[in-house]
Amino acid sequence: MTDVTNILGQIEEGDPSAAEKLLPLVYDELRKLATQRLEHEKPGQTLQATALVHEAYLRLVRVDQVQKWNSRGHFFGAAAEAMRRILIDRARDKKRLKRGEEKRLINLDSIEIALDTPPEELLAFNEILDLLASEYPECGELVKLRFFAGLSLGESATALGLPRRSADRKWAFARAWLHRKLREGH
Amino acid sequence: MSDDNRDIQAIFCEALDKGSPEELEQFLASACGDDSDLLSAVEELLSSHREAGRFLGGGATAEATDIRPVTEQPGDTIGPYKLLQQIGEGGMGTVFMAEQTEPVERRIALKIIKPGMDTQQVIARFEAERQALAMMDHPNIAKVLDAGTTATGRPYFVMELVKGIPVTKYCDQEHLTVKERLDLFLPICQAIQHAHQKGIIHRDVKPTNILVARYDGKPVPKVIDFGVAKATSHRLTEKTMFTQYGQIVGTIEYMSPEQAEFNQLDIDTRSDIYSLGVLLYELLTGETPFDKQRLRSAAFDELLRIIREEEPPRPSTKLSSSQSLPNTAVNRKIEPKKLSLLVRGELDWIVMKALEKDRNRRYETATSFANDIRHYLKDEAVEACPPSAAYKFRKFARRHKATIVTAAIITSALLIGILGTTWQAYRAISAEGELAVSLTSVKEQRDRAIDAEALAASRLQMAQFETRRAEKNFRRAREAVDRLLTKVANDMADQPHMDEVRRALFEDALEFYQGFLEQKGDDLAIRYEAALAQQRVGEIHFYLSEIEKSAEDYRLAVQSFAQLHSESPSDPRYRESLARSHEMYSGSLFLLNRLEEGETQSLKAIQIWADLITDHPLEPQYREKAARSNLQLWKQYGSKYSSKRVQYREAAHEILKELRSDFPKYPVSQDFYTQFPNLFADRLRELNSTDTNPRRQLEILIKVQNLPHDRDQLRMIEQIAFERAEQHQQDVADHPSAYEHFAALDEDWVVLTGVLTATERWQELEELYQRRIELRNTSVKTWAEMVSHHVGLAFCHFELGHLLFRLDRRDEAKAHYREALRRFEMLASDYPDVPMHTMHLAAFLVDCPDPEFQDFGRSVQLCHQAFQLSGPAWAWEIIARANLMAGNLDAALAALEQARQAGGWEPVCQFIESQVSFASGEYDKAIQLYETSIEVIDTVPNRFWFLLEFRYYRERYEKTLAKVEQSNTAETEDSAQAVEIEETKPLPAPKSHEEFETKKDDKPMTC
Repeated sequence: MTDVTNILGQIEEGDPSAAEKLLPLVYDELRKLATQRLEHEKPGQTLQATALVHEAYLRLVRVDQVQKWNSRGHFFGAAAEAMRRILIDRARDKKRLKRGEEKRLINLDSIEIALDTPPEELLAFNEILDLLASEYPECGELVKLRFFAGLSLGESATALGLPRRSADRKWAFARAWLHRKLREGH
Repeated sequence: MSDDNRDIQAIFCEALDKGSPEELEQFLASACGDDSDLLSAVEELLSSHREAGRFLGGGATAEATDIRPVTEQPGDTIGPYKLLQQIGEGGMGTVFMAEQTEPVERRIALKIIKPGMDTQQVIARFEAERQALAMMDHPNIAKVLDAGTTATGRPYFVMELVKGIPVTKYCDQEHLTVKERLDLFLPICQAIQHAHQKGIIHRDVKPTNILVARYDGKPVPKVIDFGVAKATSHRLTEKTMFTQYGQIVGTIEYMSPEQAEFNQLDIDTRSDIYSLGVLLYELLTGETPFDKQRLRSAAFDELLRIIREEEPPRPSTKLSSSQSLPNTAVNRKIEPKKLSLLVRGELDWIVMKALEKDRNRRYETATSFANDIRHYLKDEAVEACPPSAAYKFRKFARRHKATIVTAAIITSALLIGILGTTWQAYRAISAEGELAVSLTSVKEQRDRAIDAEALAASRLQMAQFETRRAEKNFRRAREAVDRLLTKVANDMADQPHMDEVRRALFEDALEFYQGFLEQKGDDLAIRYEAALAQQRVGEIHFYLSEIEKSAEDYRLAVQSFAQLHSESPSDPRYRESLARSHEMYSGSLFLLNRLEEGETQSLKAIQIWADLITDHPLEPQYREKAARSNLQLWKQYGSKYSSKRVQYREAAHEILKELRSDFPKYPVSQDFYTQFPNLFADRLRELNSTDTNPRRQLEILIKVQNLPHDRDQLRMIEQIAFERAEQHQQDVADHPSAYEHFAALDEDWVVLTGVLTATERWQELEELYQRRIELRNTSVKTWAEMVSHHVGLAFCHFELGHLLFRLDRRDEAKAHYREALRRFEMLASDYPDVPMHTMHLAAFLVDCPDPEFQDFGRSVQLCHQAFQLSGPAWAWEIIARANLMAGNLDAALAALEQARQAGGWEPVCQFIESQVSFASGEYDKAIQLYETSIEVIDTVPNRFWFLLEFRYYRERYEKTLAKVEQSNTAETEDSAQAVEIEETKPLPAPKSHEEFETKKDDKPMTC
């Protein structure tokens, strides 16, 4: 098994290919965690993106070796992307299976920020988010971290290597931008 | 990305900073110039920004980004309150002293919560709990009176004004002692308990929430902020734990593991117990369990992990490793060393119980927490520790300091063994592993007794205490007292100095049992309990030397058990008890010289065991018990009917052999091994072949005090012992007054002594002895009142003397012999009624190879004096050897016969007899006896204790025998004569292999 801690180390050392290896690992872990959680826990149990991502972090990363936020940032970046894919996949499945039989699915509805959002809205949001990311990459990253990985603004700022104040502003901008697009039905 | 986009974002962001609409307009006009598209795009975004509200969890300002301070000032009015002055500022808010005019005029404390909270939710949560809060009425709780919202939209709380300082600060400032701190801690527990009873959990117990103020000159702690934490901390448990990282770090040291869960909402009263535990920890040690710096520097999830998973160091450990210990100690008016000593033990346990990760294992309530502290303060057994007998004894001892001073002397005498020196006492003790453990604790207990504050009452209340505690039902009560008696009293039963303590203890226990007997009923179980109690009364009478009474008690017990057995014959419990009571009855009868009756009783017991073996062939313990029963009968006969007793010993041997072959894994009690060395040798060989873990082997070897013959094994043991000694040496250097390190080091060195002797590395051995003497010289000062250290020192000198004598450095040897003799003499005269010390002296007078120190007549006299003409086998062996050396060969043979009848180990007896034969010129017989004896002796692994001496004597004796043999072959009378002249005196034999009889099983020490 490729070790996430090692990958983070490679990223630290400037290996550009390492980041690509990170995502699948984090994705698998998160997916596994989410599934387990929902299978083994009582009905009505909520599942929080924050908890999932942090748990994945604790499971995948040897924390004593990775104390620097820099590499933690990489991890959370990957985790946010992973969560986004999980959520979006989930939303698509849900839409597709709307009339199908009720198969046991990962109930991501309860994932925190996501989200009471119905699948259609989530998918729409995702599209707009892609737009934002293409025009304002940092804003896109920031929203992903906040929205899918459940990071706080402070943590997101650190993960992105942004000064806090500037992260706050980018966040305000991203929110306004997304809000406007969503209202417009873009 | 287009320039446009960058502009939009930049302009938007800058626009956010503009305070007034005019300013904004002005800025936008100048930033966008005549680009109306740009202007409208920015304006749309700005309006979206204003409309977005909680979209995506809210804007940056919903979090801790708003760092504007509380702007309220003294003089401002908030609701009906007028702010007077700021009296505090914390992570959560700013506290003002304020004045209330309506409805009553009073001063109150008003806490304005810092930004970052959702005011409405805070207030809503507070309101939800307001009624419960209003019901709290406790002198140690500052009431929370009101909550509201300031004009700037921040929540505030109004509470009773406490002009105090945080409890930790107060304690240090006033230099409160540990006891005073505990006294102050109790009402805090009561306050928390009160709240818990009203259904309120504090959730944020920490020093700054417990203020101490003086009322009427007395310090009164007040818990503040009830209800506040719940109202404000809700979000701390969820996502915002992260966003409010900075804020919660201030209190995270006090946070319970369940509060440190990502997902938890499940907090109950036991979280407060945990925080109380942290507080107590800090009051004792001056530090929180987890280092503040470390928590602060850890990544957040790491920090949570620490709280959830890491076992904090015990308070005493924390203290001894703390850099600021001197300062901490000064603040508690105590010497640094004593502080950690004081905290070690019960206080450690109490604190650690409160800090259990699993809340089910914490104290159930704040009251039970407080009660345990009260137990500690009253020197009663604390709940926090599993009530081992040794621990209870420790407690008991502290309350009875007066008597324990004498008890300590006995304890010390027994401890000789644990200290690993060489004498029979050690073997007696090591035969009872459990006893050794309890004795180690006895030593600890005694250390503590020195610190005990009050002189104890003269009556021993332990039994009553036990009774009270367990009065819920008979069985538990009886068991509690039984436990106390067996573990504490019986272990010391044969030590003369213990009489006073023991008698008082027994008298109390007797009272208890007799009270118990009055309550017996018809129920089978109760009758069984009653019979056991009757038996106990018998035992007590026995120990109090009221043998007639004891016999009567045992008779009654036998009757009751027999009745029970006849009513339910299939219950093995009744049969076992019946057998046991027969055995006890037998013991008393033998002492009363009613031998035949006694034998009948024993035979009944033996028959029952035999039946049990038949009925339960797969239960090895019945075989062991049958063996024990036979052995007991043999011992009871002692020397009186030697022909009869042998068959019982043989029977025991047979049963044990069978047991060993049928149940090779059954752990036969070690005292059998000392009784039957052959069995023991088998066992050891087995252990060596099956247990490959060298460390484990070493432990076993230490326990049975033997070294293997095998060189490889020796080397392994040496290496382990060496490593351990290195470590323990460091420990001793670091903690010179910690007894356990000393004992451990001494044990290692004893093992190394054995190894070096076995491998004949004399120079290293000499150095080791020098170090041991050095260590002992320190220890006799550190623990001056402990006899065992003096004995140990005497033996070190004695043994080093042997070594030097053997190396032909006789003058140096003399110096050590002299010192050894001086010490043995001193001990014998200081403790005339502890036979062991007299026997040490007697043995020295025979064993010392330097004629200057030999005094055989006196040695014999001492042996007789110590045991009043009766005594264990090894005492007779000393007498035999002393007579041999003095040339009284007939007396030597007679003593040898006594030794054999007392159960002396045959090879050793033969060895001595060989020497007697030699002395009387019967060389062939001498050689034959020697060969028979040495053959057996060589099968048994080396005993640590007689290795050096025995080797020495054996070598010399062998030389002598060899010369005789040569001369016999040459058939030259003259040369044989010459040999005899050269070696005028036969050599003394080694000390006996026999046990210094384990006393519990054969109380009548008759010979």
